[in-house]
Amino acid sequence: MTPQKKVSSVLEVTNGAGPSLTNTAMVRKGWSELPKELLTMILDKLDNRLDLNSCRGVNRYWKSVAIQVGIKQTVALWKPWDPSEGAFQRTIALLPYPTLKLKSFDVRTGFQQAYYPVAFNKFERTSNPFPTNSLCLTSFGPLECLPKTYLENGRVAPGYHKQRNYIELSNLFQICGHHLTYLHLFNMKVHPLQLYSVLEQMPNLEALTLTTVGMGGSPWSYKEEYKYKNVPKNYSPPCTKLTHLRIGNRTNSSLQEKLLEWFESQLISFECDSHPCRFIVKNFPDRNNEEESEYYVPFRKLERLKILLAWDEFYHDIVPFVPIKYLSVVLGQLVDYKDLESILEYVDKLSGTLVHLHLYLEIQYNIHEQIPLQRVYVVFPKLKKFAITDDWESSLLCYFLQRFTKLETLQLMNNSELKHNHDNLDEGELREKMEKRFEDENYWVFCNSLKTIEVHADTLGSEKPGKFLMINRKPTLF
Amino acid sequence: MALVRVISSDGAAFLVSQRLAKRSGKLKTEIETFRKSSDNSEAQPEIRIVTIRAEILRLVLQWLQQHQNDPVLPANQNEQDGRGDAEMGQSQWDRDFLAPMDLGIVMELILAANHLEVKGLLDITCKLVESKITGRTVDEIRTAFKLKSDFKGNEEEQTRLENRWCVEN
Repeated sequence: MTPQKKVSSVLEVTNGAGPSLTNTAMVRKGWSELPKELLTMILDKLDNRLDLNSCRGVNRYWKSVAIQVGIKQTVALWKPWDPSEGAFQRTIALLPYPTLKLKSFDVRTGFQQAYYPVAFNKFERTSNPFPTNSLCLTSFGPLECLPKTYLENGRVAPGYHKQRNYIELSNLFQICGHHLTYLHLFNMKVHPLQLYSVLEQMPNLEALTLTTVGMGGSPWSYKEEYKYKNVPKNYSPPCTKLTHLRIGNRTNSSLQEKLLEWFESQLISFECDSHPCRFIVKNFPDRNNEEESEYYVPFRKLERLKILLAWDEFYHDIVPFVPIKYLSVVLGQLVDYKDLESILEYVDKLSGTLVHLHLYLEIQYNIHEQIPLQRVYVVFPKLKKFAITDDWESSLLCYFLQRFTKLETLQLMNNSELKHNHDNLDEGELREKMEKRFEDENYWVFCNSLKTIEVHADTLGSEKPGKFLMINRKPTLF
Repeated sequence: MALVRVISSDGAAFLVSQRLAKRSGKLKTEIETFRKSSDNSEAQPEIRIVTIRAEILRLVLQWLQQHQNDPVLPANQNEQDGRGDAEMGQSQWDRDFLAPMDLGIVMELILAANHLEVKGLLDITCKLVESKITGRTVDEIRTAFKLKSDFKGNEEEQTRLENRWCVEN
């Protein structure tokens, strides 16, 4: 645009005294009249649950919106899962927005009522005992029950077991399960059948997390009430809305397999922190008839994937077909060149869709001479962010960089200098040193679109953020 | 320079360049409908905004003018990025622009920005409101936004109890 056009382009030609369209005096609207969609937009920006809690207490209208926002965030906090979250242990610490926690410990000792929502005391079909539509079950064994203390103030709920003085958890789900959108199982044992029947009661579930869940126990203690002897052959997946699955540390692999069997076709985000991560490909097409099975594409909706170990079958047969945008491969130490080779091959197959790539691989030996040359021609047109441990040979890194034609941010994790000189760190000096290093190693030259290099002392996403340096590209002189 | 007349609810008329007006989604469609319905391509479009009064309209146009050279943010930016675009648009000028406003004006500005589909302005105003909520108690929020509690019976107490376990986690 030309400078002449920079004249003021807003011109008020008449003032407010002109003919009024509304004869009545302008009534100023109050905040209570703010439309729901706008209030939602504002409250959605709050990232502290305490603030959202305050909003719940303002009035009925705000409370209803705050609850909706809370429910949305429960699942939404999952959605922006960032491949650079990296670390193994992270998953355990990731409890999303306020989740009602029930522990079997409480069952034995009697609940401290004050900690639990009042609504729980009088649960019935119409009321929702889960204020944020999320639930975390901790340490439950095969005997699933709630003690009667839950009910003392209220009326006797349906399913209340008069002789035994408790409500079975399965009954609670039967009555109120449709309210839940998020379920977290922590530190307990379940039988796949049990899991299936629980999930079946929760048709609106969107996200599921399992951490430290073992396989065990008989399918519920009350067999006669239990619908299935076996998970039916031609079942439909129990929760059709479930799109986010996170399997944490030390979770039984048979359970994993079952969950994937049920949900693989609908998953958008899948994180697996448990190894070995096994995917039984052969079972998937069985659900459809024989003719279709040939064209069956497993994981066809998957966009975010975090996996721990390289697993050949998975890499070669499944994932290359799906539109993965965010990929995190956590592998720890690389011991064999073959591992690296298979990972590189795998990543190359996703080159068309990847937006964010995170490789947590520590390389302890010199492998830069073995770069497979034929791959130099595979480019990644969408990749914006790349995170990798900072112990790679610079030449190997440049091999990556030159193919990432749109890369904007490079993150180097586990930088030893930042890590070990934590106390006597002179930032200016270190920055200069890094700048020189990046110049020498030609990162800026190999990747023209690169704007920033971040150097991190720790693995990204660890509990407390460690020291990090951000170095921007210097403006060129010409 | 092609102009467009934008008229507020209380009758004040603003002459705005079409290029500037088109940065508002609403005005853009209005201008386009006008073009289609009018035979004379030279005619100056006139748009009445019945829900926004002059004072607010002036502020919106002022903001648009200041930001006329910003890249237009795609509507679905939020989903792609998750965060960041709100901070991106927050300049010193914006802060000075918003500083003297009381919350009543901000509220009207939010409604106007929403009605006129000016995403950038909507973002910074919502952000401002969010900052007014952060760290406040229930009573402080009620006072700031002139809201009254309409809870009945023990509802308020119940909400407080429900909140308690959220904190315990």
